[in-house]
Amino acid sequence: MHILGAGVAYPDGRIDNDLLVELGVAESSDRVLDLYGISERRTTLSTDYILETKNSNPIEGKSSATCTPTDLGYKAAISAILSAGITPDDIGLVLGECATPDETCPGESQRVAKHLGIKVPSFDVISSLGCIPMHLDALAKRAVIPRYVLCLSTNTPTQFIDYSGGEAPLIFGDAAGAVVVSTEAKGKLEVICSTVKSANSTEFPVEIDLLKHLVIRNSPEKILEELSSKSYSELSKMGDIDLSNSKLICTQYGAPIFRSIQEKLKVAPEVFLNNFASVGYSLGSSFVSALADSWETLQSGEDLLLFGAGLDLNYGAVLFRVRD
Amino acid sequence: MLHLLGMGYAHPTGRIPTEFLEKLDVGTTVDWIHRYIGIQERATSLPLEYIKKTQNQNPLGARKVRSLSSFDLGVDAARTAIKNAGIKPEQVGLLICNSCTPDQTIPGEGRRVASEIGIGGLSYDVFSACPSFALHVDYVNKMSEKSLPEYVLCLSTATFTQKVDYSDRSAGAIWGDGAAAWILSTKSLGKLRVVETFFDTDPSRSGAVVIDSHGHFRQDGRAVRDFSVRQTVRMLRRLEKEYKLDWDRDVFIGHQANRTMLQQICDNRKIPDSNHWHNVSSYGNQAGASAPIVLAMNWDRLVTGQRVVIAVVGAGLSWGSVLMEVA
Repeated sequence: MHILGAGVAYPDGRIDNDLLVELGVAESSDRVLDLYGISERRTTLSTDYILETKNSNPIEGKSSATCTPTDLGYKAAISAILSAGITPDDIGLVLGECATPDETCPGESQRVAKHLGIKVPSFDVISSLGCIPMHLDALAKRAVIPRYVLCLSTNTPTQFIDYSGGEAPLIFGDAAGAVVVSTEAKGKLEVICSTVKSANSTEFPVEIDLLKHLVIRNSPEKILEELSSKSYSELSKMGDIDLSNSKLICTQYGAPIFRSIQEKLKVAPEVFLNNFASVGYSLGSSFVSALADSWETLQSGEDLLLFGAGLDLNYGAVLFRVRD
Repeated sequence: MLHLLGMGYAHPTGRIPTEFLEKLDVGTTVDWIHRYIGIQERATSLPLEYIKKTQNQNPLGARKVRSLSSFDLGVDAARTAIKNAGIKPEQVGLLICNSCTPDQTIPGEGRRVASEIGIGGLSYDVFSACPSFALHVDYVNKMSEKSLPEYVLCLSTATFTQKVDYSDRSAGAIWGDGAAAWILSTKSLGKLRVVETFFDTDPSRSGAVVIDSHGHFRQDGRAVRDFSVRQTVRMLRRLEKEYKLDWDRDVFIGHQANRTMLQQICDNRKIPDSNHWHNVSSYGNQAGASAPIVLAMNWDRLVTGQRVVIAVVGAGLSWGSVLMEVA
């Protein structure tokens, strides 16, 4: 299986650390940067709206957003399709993922497919892990897939954040990412192996209830870090990993996890292709958006390891080889 | 080869009789509903007093008064399916879930149910609203046998009555709440053997059936009804031709949207009443759970050699079929 193209879309809005200080949810910009490694989060909310209301009613947040998850998903999809050198009509299957939908029915895949003007099987495969690695793993398990498959994740968690306090305003950002996958055509990234598993747990650290604010019940860093390490271990059992010739994308839930992984693997920070510093954590869009952001920098012959966990405590990993 | 080993289902205990809807004074009558929709009662998680007082104008209110959620129904149905398949939760290697009316998206309904009942394997959501039985069986059927665990639990759950605006006379007449679960396996034999699966969508019409995350369900009723009849008839015609179905022996279960619509399909395909299994008249449209609930309710009526066709349609717009044979 190959990834032929990748696309990403961000809303125009930005929540920088100075805004968080102005909101009273952070002591200082430097402190936020120190603790979380994040200087900016992308958002579909206007900063005026956030300052005025602190998004005290997330239902209003959704209705006042500058764009929808579908808008972002469509942009990312078009970008991925162009990057793959194909047209929307070439797509034979669309898989979607969205944890922040404007509508719980139909699925995000079907809404984006409508905008693309294509009539192909489309359904959602939903896990907080996101389209990478979730959709890749699902496709790898299929006996046959269409020549080109579009996989997309689009998430707008800032619409669910209470900007009056807590940790959530510091972490989350909005983004969409998409990839075109094929088992017939060759592309820039070859999937060498993949794995996805569920952690057995009755305590999920974060909840998104569609009628309420996002709630952080237990700080997720520890469990996300544990599962990220676990996913790396699973991957290393499946494929030959040469860290000296690899780039890495790990769970994008801020710097603490990244620093911990970096320390464990004893690799330089430069080998990580993270994007949380300027995007924030975009739920299931985080892996694919980081991949799409780095697409042009990937060098033929090197490996890309993508591994980590989602807030639903599914964890997984993919080992890619970068081709010409 | 894929087998269906066991099933479970769950409904809330509440019921909305058609006479109650007439008394809401929203411009509908018992006669009209019975003639054009053919539903006498709908399963509901909402108190009738609440519907009478508020017509569920603000669906946020439904959360406060409901007897249970789609998650609760899903847990119930899943536990029953596991028990009826003669296995334990920890033996389930994969759980996939479809829900149009989740309270939460993180964690998703599949992860919540898996966590609650102690599923051993991977869990996530696979979603396409009402045709989820066809989508799920097709999804599993398309996986390579070596990548499948021994037992796969599929689940579809929804509490549509919590998303209905009861001042809308057509929406109120249709929907009911329910959950269905079923266990599939390629490694263990079951009562039903899956012969063929099919799933497709026409996203150009995805706006025809919508549930707003904060609001109500809405649909272009006429367009959806025409699509439903047309696509179901098309699917049945193809299966009849390819598999030489015999409606005097074989069974049809359609999407439980509307009894009158189902009758129109049966008249077109000459399917006798005895071999058209349905429950929409007593439970309403239970979304993706409806067709598998009908199968589960009639599990003991299945006769060796008989073939069962589940042909379902719904939001997306999407549609699909599963042809099974009773082992």
